[in-house]
Amino acid sequence: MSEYRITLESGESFMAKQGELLLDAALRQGVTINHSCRNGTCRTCLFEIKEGSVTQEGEEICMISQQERENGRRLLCMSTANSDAVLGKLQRRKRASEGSAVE
Amino acid sequence: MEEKVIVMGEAGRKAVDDASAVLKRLYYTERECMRTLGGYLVSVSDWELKKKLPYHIWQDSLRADALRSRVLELRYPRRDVDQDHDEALTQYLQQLIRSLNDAELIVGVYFVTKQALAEAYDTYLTESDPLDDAPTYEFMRRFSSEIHAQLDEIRAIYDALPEVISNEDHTRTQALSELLQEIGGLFGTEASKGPVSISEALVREPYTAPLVPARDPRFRKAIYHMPPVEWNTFLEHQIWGGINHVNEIWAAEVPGTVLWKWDDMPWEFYLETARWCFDESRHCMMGEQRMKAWGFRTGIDFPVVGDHYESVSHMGELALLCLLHDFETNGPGLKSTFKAKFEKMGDTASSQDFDYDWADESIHLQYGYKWCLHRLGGDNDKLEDLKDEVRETWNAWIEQAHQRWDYEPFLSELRQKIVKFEAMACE
Ligand code: FES
Ligand SMILES: [Fe+2]
Ligand SMILES: [Fe+2]
Repeated sequence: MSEYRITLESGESFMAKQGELLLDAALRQGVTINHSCRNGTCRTCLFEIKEGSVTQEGEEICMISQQERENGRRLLCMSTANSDAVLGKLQRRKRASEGSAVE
Repeated sequence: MEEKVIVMGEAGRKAVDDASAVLKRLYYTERECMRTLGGYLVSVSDWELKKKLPYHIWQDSLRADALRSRVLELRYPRRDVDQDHDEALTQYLQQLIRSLNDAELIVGVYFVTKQALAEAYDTYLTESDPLDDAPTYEFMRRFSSEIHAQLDEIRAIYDALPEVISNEDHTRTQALSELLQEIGGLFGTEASKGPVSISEALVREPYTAPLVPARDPRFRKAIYHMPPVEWNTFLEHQIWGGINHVNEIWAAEVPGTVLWKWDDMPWEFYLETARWCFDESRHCMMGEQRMKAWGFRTGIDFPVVGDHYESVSHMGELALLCLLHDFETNGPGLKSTFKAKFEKMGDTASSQDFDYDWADESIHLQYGYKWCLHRLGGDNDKLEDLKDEVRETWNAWIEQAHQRWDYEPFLSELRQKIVKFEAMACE
Protein backbone atom coordinates (compact mmCIF):
# COMPACT_ATOMS: atom_id res chain seq x y z
CA MET A 1 0.00 0.00 0.00
CA SER A 2 1.37 3.46 -0.90
CA GLU A 3 2.50 5.82 1.81
CA TYR A 4 3.11 9.50 1.31
CA ARG A 5 5.26 11.98 3.16
CA ILE A 6 3.36 15.01 4.33
CA THR A 7 5.49 17.99 5.31
CA LEU A 8 4.32 21.00 7.28
CA GLU A 9 5.82 24.44 6.86
CA SER A 10 7.32 24.12 10.33
CA GLY A 11 9.51 21.37 8.84
CA GLU A 12 7.74 18.61 10.77
CA SER A 13 6.55 15.71 8.67
CA PHE A 14 4.55 12.51 8.95
CA MET A 15 3.58 9.58 6.76
CA ALA A 16 0.04 9.03 5.51
CA LYS A 17 -1.18 5.74 4.09
CA GLN A 18 -3.30 5.68 0.95
CA GLY A 19 -6.84 6.54 2.02
CA GLU A 20 -5.86 7.57 5.55
CA LEU A 21 -7.24 10.88 6.80
CA LEU A 22 -4.34 13.30 7.15
CA LEU A 23 -5.28 14.54 10.61
CA ASP A 24 -5.56 10.94 11.87
CA ALA A 25 -2.16 10.15 10.39
CA ALA A 26 -0.56 13.21 12.02
CA LEU A 27 -2.07 12.51 15.43
CA ARG A 28 -1.11 8.83 15.20
CA GLN A 29 2.52 9.91 14.79
CA GLY A 30 2.41 12.53 17.53
CA VAL A 31 2.41 15.53 15.20
CA THR A 32 0.25 18.32 16.57
CA ILE A 33 -2.25 19.86 14.19
CA ASN A 34 -4.81 22.25 15.58
CA HIS A 35 -8.19 20.56 15.27
CA SER A 36 -11.56 20.22 16.90
CA CYS A 37 -14.58 18.51 15.30
CA ARG A 38 -12.79 15.87 13.20
CA ASN A 39 -15.72 15.85 10.79
CA GLY A 40 -15.02 18.74 8.45
CA THR A 41 -17.38 21.27 10.01
CA CYS A 42 -15.41 23.54 12.37
CA ARG A 43 -12.69 24.62 9.90
CA THR A 44 -9.97 24.54 12.54
CA CYS A 45 -7.77 22.25 10.42
CA LEU A 46 -8.02 24.32 7.22
CA PHE A 47 -4.66 24.31 5.39
CA GLU A 48 -3.27 25.34 2.05
CA ILE A 49 -1.74 22.67 -0.15
CA LYS A 50 1.56 24.13 -1.38
CA GLU A 51 2.72 21.05 -3.25
CA GLY A 52 1.26 17.66 -4.12
CA SER A 53 -2.22 16.28 -4.57
CA VAL A 54 -4.69 16.05 -1.70
CA THR A 55 -8.37 15.07 -2.03
CA GLN A 56 -11.07 16.71 0.05
CA GLU A 57 -13.37 13.85 1.10
CA GLY A 58 -17.06 14.34 1.94
CA GLU A 59 -17.27 17.67 0.14
CA GLU A 60 -21.03 17.79 0.55
CA ILE A 61 -20.88 17.72 4.35
CA CYS A 62 -17.71 19.76 4.85
CA MET A 63 -17.75 23.49 5.57
CA ILE A 64 -15.49 24.43 2.68
CA SER A 65 -16.56 26.24 -0.44
CA GLN A 66 -15.80 25.23 -3.99
CA GLN A 67 -13.83 28.45 -4.37
CA GLU A 68 -11.64 27.56 -1.41
CA ARG A 69 -11.05 24.07 -2.79
CA GLU A 70 -10.11 25.54 -6.16
CA ASN A 71 -7.64 27.78 -4.33
CA GLY A 72 -5.94 24.69 -2.94
CA ARG A 73 -7.43 24.71 0.55
CA ARG A 74 -8.32 21.49 2.37
CA LEU A 75 -9.74 20.45 5.72
CA LEU A 76 -7.16 17.94 6.89
CA CYS A 77 -9.53 15.95 9.10
CA MET A 78 -11.43 14.96 5.97
CA SER A 79 -8.64 14.81 3.39
CA THR A 80 -6.48 12.06 1.93
CA ALA A 81 -3.22 12.28 0.00
CA ASN A 82 -2.53 10.99 -3.51
CA SER A 83 1.16 11.96 -3.44
CA ASP A 84 3.78 13.46 -1.13
CA ALA A 85 2.59 16.91 -0.13
CA VAL A 86 3.62 20.15 1.51
CA LEU A 87 1.01 21.94 3.63
CA GLY A 88 1.06 25.58 4.62
CA LYS A 89 -0.83 27.76 7.05
CA LEU A 90 -3.48 30.03 5.58
CA GLN A 91 -2.31 33.41 4.42
CA ARG A 92 -4.45 36.23 5.62
CA ARG A 93 -6.02 38.09 2.76
CA LYS A 94 -5.41 41.86 2.72
CA ARG A 95 -8.52 43.88 3.35
CA ALA A 96 -9.91 46.00 0.52
CA SER A 97 -8.96 49.09 2.56
CA GLU A 98 -5.38 47.82 2.83
CA GLY A 99 -4.74 47.89 -0.92
CA SER A 100 -3.88 44.86 -3.05
CA ALA A 101 -6.10 41.78 -2.98
CA VAL A 102 -3.79 39.07 -1.72
CA GLU A 103 -0.97 39.24 0.78
CA MET B 1 -83.63 4.45 -0.37
CA GLU B 2 -80.79 5.98 1.58
CA GLU B 3 -78.25 3.50 2.87
CA LYS B 4 -78.24 3.17 6.62
CA VAL B 5 -74.81 3.63 8.12
CA ILE B 6 -73.74 1.86 11.24
CA VAL B 7 -70.56 3.10 12.90
CA MET B 8 -68.74 0.99 15.41
CA GLY B 9 -66.00 2.39 17.63
CA GLU B 10 -65.39 5.92 18.80
CA ALA B 11 -66.17 8.97 16.72
CA GLY B 12 -63.30 10.73 14.92
CA ARG B 13 -61.63 13.38 17.05
CA LYS B 14 -59.42 15.63 15.01
CA ALA B 15 -58.83 15.90 11.25
CA VAL B 16 -55.29 16.16 9.90
CA ASP B 17 -55.85 19.75 8.73
CA ASP B 18 -57.11 20.77 12.16
CA ALA B 19 -54.19 19.08 13.86
CA SER B 20 -51.60 20.77 11.67
CA ALA B 21 -53.22 24.18 12.17
CA VAL B 22 -53.13 23.82 15.97
CA LEU B 23 -49.61 22.39 16.01
CA LYS B 24 -48.41 25.24 13.86
CA ARG B 25 -49.79 27.74 16.40
CA LEU B 26 -48.09 25.90 19.25
CA TYR B 27 -44.83 25.78 17.29
CA TYR B 28 -45.05 29.51 16.66
CA THR B 29 -45.77 30.22 20.31
CA GLU B 30 -42.83 28.12 21.51
CA ARG B 31 -40.59 29.74 18.96
CA GLU B 32 -41.60 33.27 19.91
CA CYS B 33 -41.23 32.56 23.64
CA MET B 34 -37.73 31.32 22.90
CA ARG B 35 -36.91 34.38 20.80
CA THR B 36 -38.34 36.69 23.45
CA LEU B 37 -36.19 35.14 26.16
CA GLY B 38 -33.18 35.35 23.85
CA GLY B 39 -33.75 39.01 23.08
CA TYR B 40 -34.31 39.96 26.70
CA LEU B 41 -31.33 37.98 28.01
CA VAL B 42 -28.99 40.96 27.65
CA SER B 43 -31.43 43.07 29.67
CA VAL B 44 -31.87 40.56 32.51
CA SER B 45 -30.46 41.86 35.79
CA ASP B 46 -30.86 38.93 38.11
CA TRP B 47 -27.84 36.64 37.92
CA GLU B 48 -29.76 33.44 38.65
CA LEU B 49 -32.29 34.27 35.95
CA LYS B 50 -29.53 35.15 33.50
CA LYS B 51 -27.99 31.70 33.91
CA LYS B 52 -31.28 29.83 33.83
CA LEU B 53 -32.94 31.30 30.73
CA PRO B 54 -30.49 29.85 28.18
CA TYR B 55 -31.39 26.33 29.30
CA HIS B 56 -35.06 27.05 28.82
CA ILE B 57 -34.36 28.71 25.47
CA TRP B 58 -32.74 25.50 24.31
CA GLN B 59 -35.55 23.32 25.67
CA ASP B 60 -38.09 25.59 23.98
CA SER B 61 -36.24 25.29 20.68
CA LEU B 62 -36.37 21.49 20.88
CA ARG B 63 -40.10 21.49 21.53
CA ALA B 64 -40.61 23.96 18.69
CA ASP B 65 -38.55 21.76 16.41
CA ALA B 66 -40.55 18.63 17.18
CA LEU B 67 -43.80 20.51 16.55
CA ARG B 68 -42.55 22.06 13.32
CA SER B 69 -41.39 18.72 11.95
CA ARG B 70 -44.73 17.19 12.81
CA VAL B 71 -46.66 19.99 11.09
CA LEU B 72 -44.74 19.20 7.92
CA GLU B 73 -45.66 15.52 8.22
CA LEU B 74 -49.32 16.47 8.26
CA ARG B 75 -49.57 17.54 4.60
CA TYR B 76 -48.71 21.12 5.50
CA PRO B 77 -46.94 23.14 2.78
CA ARG B 78 -43.28 23.58 3.74
CA ARG B 79 -43.22 27.16 2.55
CA ASP B 80 -46.06 28.18 4.85
CA VAL B 81 -44.96 26.66 8.14
CA ASP B 82 -42.82 29.69 9.01
CA GLN B 83 -45.19 32.34 7.71
CA ASP B 84 -48.83 33.42 7.59
CA HIS B 85 -49.26 33.25 11.34
CA ASP B 86 -52.48 34.45 12.93
CA GLU B 87 -52.22 38.21 13.25
CA ALA B 88 -53.90 38.28 16.64
CA LEU B 89 -51.57 35.63 18.05
CA THR B 90 -48.61 37.57 16.66
CA GLN B 91 -49.85 40.72 18.34
CA TYR B 92 -50.19 38.91 21.63
CA LEU B 93 -46.71 37.39 21.42
CA GLN B 94 -45.17 40.75 20.53
CA GLN B 95 -46.23 42.13 23.91
CA LEU B 96 -44.08 39.64 25.82
CA ILE B 97 -40.70 41.29 25.33
CA ARG B 98 -42.02 44.74 26.12
CA SER B 99 -41.17 44.24 29.76
CA LEU B 100 -39.89 46.84 32.15
CA ASN B 101 -37.95 44.39 34.31
CA ASP B 102 -37.18 40.72 34.94
CA ALA B 103 -40.45 40.20 36.80
CA GLU B 104 -42.55 41.47 33.90
CA LEU B 105 -40.73 39.20 31.49
CA ILE B 106 -41.39 36.20 33.71
CA VAL B 107 -45.04 37.08 34.12
CA GLY B 108 -45.64 37.31 30.39
CA VAL B 109 -43.55 34.44 29.11
CA TYR B 110 -43.90 32.01 31.98
CA PHE B 111 -46.90 32.67 34.16
CA VAL B 112 -49.24 33.43 31.27
CA THR B 113 -47.86 31.95 28.04
CA LYS B 114 -45.97 28.86 29.15
CA GLN B 115 -48.73 28.06 31.61
CA ALA B 116 -51.14 28.23 28.67
CA LEU B 117 -48.82 26.06 26.57
CA ALA B 118 -48.75 23.34 29.23
CA GLU B 119 -52.55 23.38 29.34
CA ALA B 120 -52.76 23.36 25.55
CA TYR B 121 -50.60 20.22 25.34
CA ASP B 122 -52.77 18.45 27.91
CA THR B 123 -55.86 19.44 25.98
CA TYR B 124 -54.42 18.38 22.64
CA LEU B 125 -53.59 14.95 24.02
CA THR B 126 -57.08 14.40 25.36
CA GLU B 127 -58.77 15.68 22.22
CA SER B 128 -56.81 13.77 19.57
CA ASP B 129 -56.52 10.13 18.66
CA PRO B 130 -53.62 8.30 20.34
CA LEU B 131 -53.27 5.82 17.49
CA ASP B 132 -53.91 7.97 14.42
CA ASP B 133 -51.79 10.81 15.80
CA ALA B 134 -49.31 8.62 17.69
CA PRO B 135 -46.19 10.40 16.36
CA THR B 136 -47.42 13.64 17.99
CA TYR B 137 -48.24 11.80 21.22
CA GLU B 138 -44.75 10.39 21.39
CA PHE B 139 -43.08 13.73 21.97
CA MET B 140 -45.96 15.82 23.28
CA ARG B 141 -46.64 13.67 26.33
CA ARG B 142 -43.36 14.96 27.81
CA PHE B 143 -44.03 18.63 27.09
CA SER B 144 -46.41 19.55 29.87
CA SER B 145 -44.19 18.16 32.63
CA GLU B 146 -41.13 19.82 31.08
CA ILE B 147 -42.88 23.19 31.11
CA HIS B 148 -44.06 22.68 34.67
CA ALA B 149 -40.47 22.00 35.68
CA GLN B 150 -39.46 25.27 33.98
CA LEU B 151 -42.25 27.09 35.80
CA ASP B 152 -41.12 25.70 39.16
CA GLU B 153 -37.53 26.77 38.53
CA ILE B 154 -38.58 30.24 37.50
CA ARG B 155 -41.06 30.66 40.33
CA ALA B 156 -38.24 30.23 42.84
CA ILE B 157 -36.20 32.94 41.09
CA TYR B 158 -39.21 35.23 40.64
CA ASP B 159 -40.15 35.14 44.32
CA ALA B 160 -36.70 36.42 45.24
CA LEU B 161 -36.62 39.33 42.75
CA PRO B 162 -36.40 42.71 44.49
CA GLU B 163 -39.23 44.17 42.39
CA VAL B 164 -41.50 41.31 43.43
CA ILE B 165 -40.61 41.48 47.10
CA SER B 166 -41.18 45.22 47.24
CA ASN B 167 -44.26 45.49 45.07
CA GLU B 168 -45.71 42.49 43.27
CA ASP B 169 -48.17 43.75 40.68
CA HIS B 170 -50.77 41.50 39.08
CA THR B 171 -52.03 44.04 36.53
CA ARG B 172 -49.84 42.73 33.74
CA THR B 173 -50.67 39.09 34.44
CA GLN B 174 -54.33 39.93 34.27
CA ALA B 175 -54.10 42.08 31.16
CA LEU B 176 -52.09 39.48 29.25
CA SER B 177 -54.41 36.66 30.33
CA GLU B 178 -57.37 38.66 29.12
CA LEU B 179 -55.69 39.40 25.81
CA LEU B 180 -54.88 35.74 25.32
CA GLN B 181 -58.46 34.83 26.09
CA GLU B 182 -59.70 37.45 23.65
CA ILE B 183 -57.68 35.97 20.79
CA GLY B 184 -59.17 32.54 21.48
CA GLY B 185 -56.33 31.19 23.58
CA LEU B 186 -53.36 29.46 22.01
CA PHE B 187 -55.65 27.27 19.91
CA GLY B 188 -57.43 30.35 18.53
CA THR B 189 -60.88 30.53 17.03
CA GLU B 190 -62.08 31.56 13.64
CA ALA B 191 -63.47 34.73 15.19
CA SER B 192 -60.09 35.68 16.65
CA LYS B 193 -58.45 36.33 13.27
CA GLY B 194 -57.38 39.90 12.67
CA PRO B 195 -55.93 42.65 14.85
CA VAL B 196 -57.03 43.16 18.43
CA SER B 197 -56.84 46.23 20.58
CA ILE B 198 -54.16 46.33 23.26
CA SER B 199 -55.32 47.44 26.68
CA GLU B 200 -53.88 50.47 28.38
CA ALA B 201 -52.09 48.30 30.95
CA LEU B 202 -50.01 46.67 28.22
CA VAL B 203 -49.03 49.70 26.20
CA ARG B 204 -45.22 49.90 26.09
CA GLU B 205 -42.53 51.20 23.80
CA PRO B 206 -41.09 48.58 21.42
CA TYR B 207 -38.18 46.72 23.01
CA THR B 208 -34.65 47.86 22.30
CA ALA B 209 -31.72 45.79 23.50
CA PRO B 210 -29.17 47.76 25.57
CA LEU B 211 -25.67 48.21 24.14
CA VAL B 212 -24.18 47.42 27.54
CA PRO B 213 -25.39 44.11 28.96
CA ALA B 214 -27.18 44.36 32.30
CA ARG B 215 -25.46 42.75 35.26
CA ASP B 216 -26.83 42.01 38.68
CA PRO B 217 -27.02 45.27 40.68
CA ARG B 218 -25.56 43.38 43.64
CA PHE B 219 -22.30 42.96 41.73
CA ARG B 220 -19.44 45.38 42.34
CA LYS B 221 -18.65 47.81 39.56
CA ALA B 222 -15.98 46.87 37.05
CA ILE B 223 -15.02 47.78 33.49
CA TYR B 224 -13.42 44.59 32.18
CA HIS B 225 -13.20 41.06 33.54
CA MET B 226 -9.69 39.67 33.10
CA PRO B 227 -6.94 40.76 35.50
CA PRO B 228 -4.56 42.89 33.39
CA VAL B 229 -1.53 40.85 34.45
CA GLU B 230 0.39 37.80 33.24
CA TRP B 231 -0.69 34.33 34.35
CA ASN B 232 2.44 33.29 36.22
CA THR B 233 1.69 30.44 38.60
CA PHE B 234 -0.60 27.49 37.98
CA LEU B 235 -2.83 28.74 40.79
CA GLU B 236 -3.26 32.04 38.95
CA HIS B 237 -4.05 30.12 35.82
CA GLN B 238 -6.75 28.19 37.69
CA ILE B 239 -8.33 31.34 39.09
CA TRP B 240 -7.95 33.64 36.10
CA GLY B 241 -9.30 30.76 33.97
CA GLY B 242 -12.31 30.49 36.27
CA ILE B 243 -13.01 34.23 36.03
CA ASN B 244 -12.77 34.01 32.27
CA HIS B 245 -15.17 31.08 32.13
CA VAL B 246 -17.79 32.80 34.31
CA ASN B 247 -17.66 35.84 32.07
CA GLU B 248 -18.55 33.73 29.04
CA ILE B 249 -22.11 34.70 29.80
CA TRP B 250 -21.57 37.43 27.18
CA ALA B 251 -21.21 34.62 24.66
CA ALA B 252 -24.71 33.43 25.63
CA GLU B 253 -26.08 36.96 25.33
CA VAL B 254 -24.85 37.31 21.74
CA PRO B 255 -26.78 34.31 20.35
CA GLY B 256 -29.74 35.50 22.42
CA THR B 257 -29.62 38.92 20.79
CA VAL B 258 -29.47 37.57 17.24
CA LEU B 259 -32.25 35.09 17.97
CA TRP B 260 -34.41 38.09 18.60
CA LYS B 261 -33.12 40.61 16.10
CA TRP B 262 -33.11 38.35 13.07
CA ASP B 263 -36.67 37.26 12.47
CA ASP B 264 -36.23 36.14 8.87
CA MET B 265 -33.76 33.30 9.17
CA PRO B 266 -34.16 29.63 8.24
CA TRP B 267 -35.48 27.51 11.13
CA GLU B 268 -32.11 25.75 11.58
CA PHE B 269 -30.61 29.08 12.59
CA TYR B 270 -32.95 29.39 15.59
CA LEU B 271 -32.42 25.79 16.57
CA GLU B 272 -28.64 26.02 16.44
CA THR B 273 -28.42 29.46 18.01
CA ALA B 274 -30.57 28.36 20.94
CA ARG B 275 -28.13 25.51 21.56
CA TRP B 276 -25.19 27.90 21.25
CA CYS B 277 -26.78 30.19 23.83
CA PHE B 278 -27.26 27.29 26.24
CA ASP B 279 -23.72 25.96 25.78
CA GLU B 280 -22.19 29.32 26.62
CA SER B 281 -24.26 29.53 29.80
CA ARG B 282 -22.89 26.08 30.67
CA HIS B 283 -19.35 27.34 30.17
CA CYS B 284 -20.16 30.22 32.49
CA MET B 285 -21.55 27.85 35.10
CA MET B 286 -18.52 25.57 34.77
CA GLY B 287 -16.36 28.50 35.81
CA GLU B 288 -18.73 29.54 38.57
CA GLN B 289 -18.77 26.05 40.03
CA ARG B 290 -14.98 26.03 40.24
CA MET B 291 -14.78 29.58 41.59
CA LYS B 292 -17.37 28.71 44.26
CA ALA B 293 -15.32 25.70 45.26
CA TRP B 294 -12.42 28.10 45.94
CA GLY B 295 -14.79 30.23 48.01
CA PHE B 296 -15.16 33.15 45.57
CA ARG B 297 -18.46 34.98 45.31
CA THR B 298 -19.60 35.81 41.77
CA GLY B 299 -19.50 39.50 40.94
CA ILE B 300 -18.25 40.35 44.43
CA ASP B 301 -14.84 38.73 44.67
CA PHE B 302 -14.20 38.94 40.94
CA PRO B 303 -15.81 41.05 38.20
CA VAL B 304 -18.61 39.91 35.96
CA VAL B 305 -19.11 42.36 33.09
CA GLY B 306 -20.07 42.29 29.43
CA ASP B 307 -16.89 43.91 28.16
CA HIS B 308 -16.61 41.95 24.92
CA TYR B 309 -20.24 42.59 24.12
CA GLU B 310 -20.00 46.26 24.93
CA SER B 311 -16.92 46.81 22.79
CA VAL B 312 -18.67 46.15 19.46
CA SER B 313 -22.41 46.33 20.17
CA HIS B 314 -22.57 49.82 18.60
CA MET B 315 -21.59 48.14 15.30
CA GLY B 316 -24.72 46.00 15.28
CA GLU B 317 -25.61 42.40 15.95
CA LEU B 318 -23.68 40.91 13.03
CA ALA B 319 -20.51 42.47 14.45
CA LEU B 320 -21.35 40.91 17.82
CA LEU B 321 -21.79 37.47 16.33
CA CYS B 322 -18.67 37.91 14.29
CA LEU B 323 -16.60 38.85 17.35
CA LEU B 324 -17.82 35.76 19.13
CA HIS B 325 -16.99 33.67 16.07
CA ASP B 326 -13.53 35.22 15.88
CA PHE B 327 -12.80 34.40 19.53
CA GLU B 328 -14.02 30.88 18.96
CA THR B 329 -11.67 30.44 16.02
CA ASN B 330 -8.88 30.37 18.62
CA GLY B 331 -10.98 28.22 20.95
CA PRO B 332 -9.81 24.75 19.94
CA GLY B 333 -6.11 25.65 20.27
CA LEU B 334 -6.69 27.33 23.62
CA LYS B 335 -9.11 24.86 25.14
CA SER B 336 -7.12 21.80 24.10
CA THR B 337 -3.96 23.33 25.60
CA PHE B 338 -5.81 24.11 28.84
CA LYS B 339 -7.23 20.61 28.96
CA ALA B 340 -3.76 19.08 28.64
CA LYS B 341 -2.20 21.49 31.12
CA PHE B 342 -4.81 21.03 33.85
CA GLU B 343 -4.80 17.28 33.32
CA LYS B 344 -1.05 17.17 33.74
CA MET B 345 -1.26 19.18 36.95
CA GLY B 346 -3.95 16.89 38.35
CA ASP B 347 -6.83 19.41 38.27
CA THR B 348 -9.31 17.09 36.61
CA ALA B 349 -12.30 19.28 37.52
CA SER B 350 -10.94 22.00 35.26
CA SER B 351 -9.53 19.73 32.56
CA GLN B 352 -12.87 17.98 32.16
CA ASP B 353 -14.62 21.35 31.85
CA PHE B 354 -12.19 22.40 29.12
CA ASP B 355 -12.53 19.05 27.38
CA TYR B 356 -16.30 19.45 26.99
CA ASP B 357 -15.97 23.15 26.26
CA TRP B 358 -13.57 22.27 23.43
CA ALA B 359 -16.13 19.79 22.05
CA ASP B 360 -18.86 22.47 22.19
CA GLU B 361 -16.54 24.85 20.39
CA SER B 362 -16.48 22.55 17.35
CA ILE B 363 -20.16 22.99 16.75
CA HIS B 364 -20.10 26.70 17.58
CA LEU B 365 -17.44 27.24 14.95
CA GLN B 366 -19.72 25.67 12.42
CA TYR B 367 -22.66 27.81 13.55
CA GLY B 368 -20.60 30.98 13.56
CA TYR B 369 -19.15 30.44 10.13
CA LYS B 370 -22.43 29.35 8.59
CA TRP B 371 -24.64 32.12 9.94
CA CYS B 372 -22.20 35.02 9.68
CA LEU B 373 -21.63 33.98 6.09
CA HIS B 374 -25.37 33.71 5.53
CA ARG B 375 -25.82 37.31 6.67
CA LEU B 376 -22.96 38.37 4.39
CA GLY B 377 -24.47 36.78 1.30
CA GLY B 378 -21.92 33.94 1.32
CA ASP B 379 -18.94 36.27 0.80
CA ASN B 380 -15.94 34.72 2.56
CA ASP B 381 -13.76 37.78 2.05
CA LYS B 382 -16.31 40.04 3.70
CA LEU B 383 -16.40 37.66 6.65
CA GLU B 384 -12.61 37.77 7.01
CA ASP B 385 -12.67 41.57 6.80
CA LEU B 386 -15.39 41.87 9.40
CA LYS B 387 -13.55 39.49 11.73
CA ASP B 388 -10.45 41.69 11.44
CA GLU B 389 -12.47 44.81 12.05
CA VAL B 390 -14.25 43.57 15.17
CA ARG B 391 -11.04 42.11 16.60
CA GLU B 392 -9.30 45.45 16.12
CA THR B 393 -12.26 47.24 17.69
CA TRP B 394 -12.09 44.97 20.72
CA ASN B 395 -8.32 45.36 21.03
CA ALA B 396 -8.59 49.14 20.95
CA TRP B 397 -11.47 49.07 23.45
CA ILE B 398 -9.66 46.92 26.00
CA GLU B 399 -6.47 48.91 25.64
CA GLN B 400 -8.39 52.03 26.46
CA ALA B 401 -10.17 50.28 29.33
CA HIS B 402 -6.82 49.29 30.84
CA GLN B 403 -5.91 52.97 30.92
CA ARG B 404 -9.13 53.88 32.65
CA TRP B 405 -9.04 51.22 35.37
CA ASP B 406 -6.39 49.20 37.19
CA TYR B 407 -8.71 46.35 38.28
CA GLU B 408 -8.64 47.44 41.89
CA PRO B 409 -9.66 46.49 44.50
CA PHE B 410 -10.27 43.10 42.88
CA LEU B 411 -6.63 42.50 42.00
CA SER B 412 -5.22 43.07 45.49
CA GLU B 413 -7.97 41.00 47.06
CA LEU B 414 -7.51 38.14 44.62
CA ARG B 415 -3.75 38.19 45.21
CA GLN B 416 -4.26 38.09 48.98
CA LYS B 417 -6.42 35.02 48.59
CA ILE B 418 -3.89 33.40 46.30
CA VAL B 419 -1.20 33.92 48.94
CA LYS B 420 -3.48 32.21 51.45
CA PHE B 421 -4.08 29.27 49.13
CA GLU B 422 -0.35 28.93 48.55
CA ALA B 423 0.26 28.91 52.29
CA MET B 424 -2.40 26.22 52.67
CA ALA B 425 -0.67 24.11 50.04
CA CYS B 426 2.61 24.34 51.98
CA GLU B 427 1.09 23.32 55.33
S1 FES C 1 -11.13 19.44 12.79
FE1 FES C 1 -12.96 20.50 12.36
S2 FES C 1 -12.88 20.84 10.24
FE2 FES C 1 -11.19 19.56 10.65
FE1 LIG D 1 -17.73 29.18 25.56
FE1 LIG E 1 -18.39 28.66 22.19
